[in-house]
Amino acid sequence: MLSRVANSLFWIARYVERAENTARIIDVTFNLNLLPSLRKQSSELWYPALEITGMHETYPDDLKTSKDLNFIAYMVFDQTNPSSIFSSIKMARDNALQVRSSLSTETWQTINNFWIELNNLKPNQVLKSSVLEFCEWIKNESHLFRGSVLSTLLRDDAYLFLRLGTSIERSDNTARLLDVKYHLLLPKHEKVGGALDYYEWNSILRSVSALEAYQKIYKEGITPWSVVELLILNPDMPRSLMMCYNDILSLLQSLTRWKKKSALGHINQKIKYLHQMNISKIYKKGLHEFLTDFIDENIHLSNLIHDDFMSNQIR
Amino acid sequence: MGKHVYQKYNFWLEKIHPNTLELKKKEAELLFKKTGITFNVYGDDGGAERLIPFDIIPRILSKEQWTIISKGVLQRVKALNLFLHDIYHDQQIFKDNIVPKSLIRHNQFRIEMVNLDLPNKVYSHISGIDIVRTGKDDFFVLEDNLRTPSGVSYMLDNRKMMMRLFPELFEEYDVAPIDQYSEILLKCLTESSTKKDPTIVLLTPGSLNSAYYEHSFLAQQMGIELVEGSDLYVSKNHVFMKTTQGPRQVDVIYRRIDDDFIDPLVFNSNSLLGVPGLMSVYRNGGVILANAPGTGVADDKATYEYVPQIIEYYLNEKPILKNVTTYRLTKKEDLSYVLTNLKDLVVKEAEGSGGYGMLIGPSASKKELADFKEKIKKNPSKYIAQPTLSLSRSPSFINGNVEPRHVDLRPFVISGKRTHIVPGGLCRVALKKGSLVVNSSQGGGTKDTWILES
Repeated sequence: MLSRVANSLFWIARYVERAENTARIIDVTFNLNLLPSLRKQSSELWYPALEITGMHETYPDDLKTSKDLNFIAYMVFDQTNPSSIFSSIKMARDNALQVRSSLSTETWQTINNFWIELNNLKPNQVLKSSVLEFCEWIKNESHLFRGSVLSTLLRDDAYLFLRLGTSIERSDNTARLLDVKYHLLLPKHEKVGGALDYYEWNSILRSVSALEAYQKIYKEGITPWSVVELLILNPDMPRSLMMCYNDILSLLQSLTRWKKKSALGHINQKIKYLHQMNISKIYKKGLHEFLTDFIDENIHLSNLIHDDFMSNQIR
Repeated sequence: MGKHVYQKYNFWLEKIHPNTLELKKKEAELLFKKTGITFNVYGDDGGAERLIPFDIIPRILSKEQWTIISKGVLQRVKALNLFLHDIYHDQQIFKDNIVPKSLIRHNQFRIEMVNLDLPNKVYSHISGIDIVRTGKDDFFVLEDNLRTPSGVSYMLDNRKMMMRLFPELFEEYDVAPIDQYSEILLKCLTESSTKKDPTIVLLTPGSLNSAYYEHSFLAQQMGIELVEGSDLYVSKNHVFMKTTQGPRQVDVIYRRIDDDFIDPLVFNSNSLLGVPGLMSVYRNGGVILANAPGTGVADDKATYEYVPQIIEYYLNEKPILKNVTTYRLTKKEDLSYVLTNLKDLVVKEAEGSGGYGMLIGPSASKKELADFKEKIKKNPSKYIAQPTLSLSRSPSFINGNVEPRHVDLRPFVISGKRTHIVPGGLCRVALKKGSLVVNSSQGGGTKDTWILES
């Protein structure tokens, strides 16, 4: 497969996944606000959402005077925001256009249609009356994209690079989500308990579709360290760091058929490290430190993948 | 002529609900948009993607008409390939005084091609010949396209669309199938190499090019890589592409980039689209280019008027398709005739394409005529002139009504060890009432063309 094409495929999947993650964050944040006892200042509520998605650095307006809808508009429709859902899907579609001959017709059409429909939406209408419906729709389109990849693509390198993009982006998102909310997960909060924390944890789990899984595995109520265990170390939990990395390992094993193996070497190391980890070790290291390390190493891994497969340098 | 072929169509049209065509038209637009079948218009802001208008009434041609067209087109392409081989080798045709040697003095003649032997002696692997009908079975060739002809994706997609919209009509008519095109193309590209199992790629200028959709469509249909110039590089007399598993040698390049841009070391040095060193590998036999560089000398408007002689010279056959009378403005008597009769003539740039910079005498204003006269006087060799043909018209769906519109047809010929043609072509239709210009850049649309098998 052409290096340029591999790069585009990898990023198509990352952008779609990014849009989905942003929609998930907006969904739960919006829902939190619906509980009267928890109602906060807009900025208090939405700043963490900006942080998780990395948009806090570019948010242009005054946080204090911003209303809920200003935040949502920025995260969803703002064309100057490179991480907005709009920009993500536009980039996914632009990349797909450039490599459409490497996608199945169904997959191309799914992305193209996603873009056309998003582009046709009237932002004011969505913001006014159907934010939750919109988030649901974004999630569904993203599922549709992965579904069409899964059921229509030949299991060749194109498929592997798409999956790789999804897993890298997803692990980044889970780590960021936990990191932004990590103060809630500090032991001292355990004593506090109460409705507020319960809903926050609850929302973290829901944002990664893990609430039901949590209830199945942990019969007791929601405790912070069980949440951490589930989302970092559980190999069966679709958005856990462990599962993402297991996926990346097997994808890289299938892809690496020639001399460049730096990404594979790196992921092997990281998996070994995750396997040695348990909750008390993470606690000892510090959750925040653990997660920041992870995010940095994940960026490094993405760079190594680029060097191994997508670098346009003549070798 | 040909009216009877629409008999069953008319009968069907009378039976259906009056709204049907309008609804089907909307459905088609939606589907085309969804599939992303768009073309980019140069000069538009940000290279906007647009849908090429699609007319949902097919052009229907009888078996007899197709026999004339297909034989004529195959004959023409065979002769032009032989002509190209000759002028890049012995130039016997000049020695025999059939055509003037001055033909190769213009810039489409590529000195780099001289004495280069090509497999199967094929220069134009993919050719598109533009044809119009005037009288009953009077077919004229308007133009030969031997460089990087486009439009075949519309031929294939229009058919798919018609079968989806009107399956019942395909039960009424025995329409000859066309979807074997990409298979034949792949076969001929494979044959163009002396290697047994060559690696073939399609070289595109990129996603901003007006025909990008077609490039990706064909690459996908043939299961070959769609590459851009920056994906390729030259090393040790071979061309390689940069892949995720390291460099991979490329044997055949179906290039959809003009000669001028394929190798900045040889042609346009500002080109970022091409591959530096490509021509040197090509000349040493390290890679095959389809079409070969330098085919432009055979489809140029100046060469056009000699094609009948070229056919007779190489094939010893009478030309099956007619040429449109062409006035060369470098000839004194032609020039004065053209200047006097400009209002009845069509004037084109000898080097132009896409319907840009044309004058259609009958529909031009007095001022336009006067302005063009000055242009011609200033630079007569830049232009050629032809009589205005009364092009045949085909029923088209216009604002809710069925109305006749002028059409042309571009069948595609693929040359490998043998010469092939699929029964059909790109049918372009001038959607503006009375207009004779079918180019999509000038408000033209496309139609499906049905060649009847019985």
